[in-house]
Amino acid sequence: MAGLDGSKSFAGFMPPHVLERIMSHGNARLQQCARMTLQADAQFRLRNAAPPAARPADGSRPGEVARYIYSAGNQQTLPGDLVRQEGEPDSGDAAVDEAYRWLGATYLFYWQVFERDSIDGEGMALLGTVHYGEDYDNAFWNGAQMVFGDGDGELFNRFTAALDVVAHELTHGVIEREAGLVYADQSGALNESLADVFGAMVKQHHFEQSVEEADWLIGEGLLTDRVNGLALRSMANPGSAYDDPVLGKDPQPGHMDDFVRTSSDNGGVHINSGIPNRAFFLAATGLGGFAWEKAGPVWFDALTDSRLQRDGNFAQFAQLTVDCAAKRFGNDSEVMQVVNRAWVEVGVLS
Amino acid sequence: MSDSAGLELEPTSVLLVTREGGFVVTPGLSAPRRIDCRELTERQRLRLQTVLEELDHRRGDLPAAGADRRSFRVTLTMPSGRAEKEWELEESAAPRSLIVLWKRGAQGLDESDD
Repeated sequence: MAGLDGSKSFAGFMPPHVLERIMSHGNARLQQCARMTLQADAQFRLRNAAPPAARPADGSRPGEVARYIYSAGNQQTLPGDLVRQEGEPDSGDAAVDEAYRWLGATYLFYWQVFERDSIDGEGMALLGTVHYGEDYDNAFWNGAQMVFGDGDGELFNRFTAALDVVAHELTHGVIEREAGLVYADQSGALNESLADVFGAMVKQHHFEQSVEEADWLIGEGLLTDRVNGLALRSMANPGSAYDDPVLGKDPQPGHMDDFVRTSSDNGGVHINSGIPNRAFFLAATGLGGFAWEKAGPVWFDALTDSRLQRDGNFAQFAQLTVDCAAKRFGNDSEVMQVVNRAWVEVGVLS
Repeated sequence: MSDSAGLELEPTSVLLVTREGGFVVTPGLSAPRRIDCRELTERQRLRLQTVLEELDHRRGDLPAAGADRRSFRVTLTMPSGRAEKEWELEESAAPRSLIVLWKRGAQGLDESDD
């Protein structure tokens, strides 16, 4: 596979026990490399290991979603008990019905805008588990399904309350299938940013919001009234989503000058994602209209481009979006220029 | 990761418990919880010793597949000069006693076992 700079990358094999040894005894850099490799390997194996019989039926034909909502009953066992599946009426359980509804809205977005049939492009069943754990303040994608906590009620509401959060988690599945971006450092922050970008677009698409009408917040409605904040992240103004005595101040940067180097959070994947998030905001608002009409397809083209490598960094992805904008809308088109300017403005391209 | 076989907490040992990752990453929630043995009762210190021994039996679960997964990092500082020890655990592999320790600090050591 050729890199964006035309260089070649070489596939290799290192036995897991050697990688584990490096994790235990190598220097910090080697440990990080080994960790990334082990993680990518785990994701690859997961993608190829699940026997079809272990999962419920996929959609029967393209454009038809297949949703399965489970309840973990406040335990941490997955997937839990099936409580609602495709075509069944409201259950009366808010978390169950939100998960069902928002997974449907996300499926519809990918199908209507990109003609993508679910997570894998082949009608993969959408599995969501709610009521996971006790007072659980998180939502995640585990490589096979989405999982949502109820929140603790003190700081966080239930995680199904926000459409963009549900769409964010489903999009992690799409990213895993398409680019397999390693979940660490810049590639991990890109992974996070793409999940936010498409999460925000799903919300705008569902509520038919133009780029001017959208709030560009991630997780709006997730924070309780006791928290001094609007949401968990702001794509328009990274670093401004909250400032609270318990949560602290939103640490996201919006420019490469403020890039945060840290070993926690897999190298700051939820922190530095603010930079590409703002680039998308600038591109989308610079182009006007609906985000999924111009900027969205450019980002989707880049995500699904075979040149995007698993350890791709911000600059490589940025250049790819410019290339994709030129390919879709024409060389030196307004779209290409606006996309390029957006990345320059956040300091990724010069 | 390290082997804590034979490990004995010292009266001045300090434990840092950090929860990392997840969809929600905030400075306040990411800050380590500090457990200072000098501030513990003897019973609490013995309980903490048990928690650390339990961690060794749950090693090897990182990295977890997927995204927005959480993990715990536990760092032990041994003031006597013995090597610092560190454990990393994927959230679903973390014993309840560790989660309680993160949530409630030293007070969590007064709760009963799993």
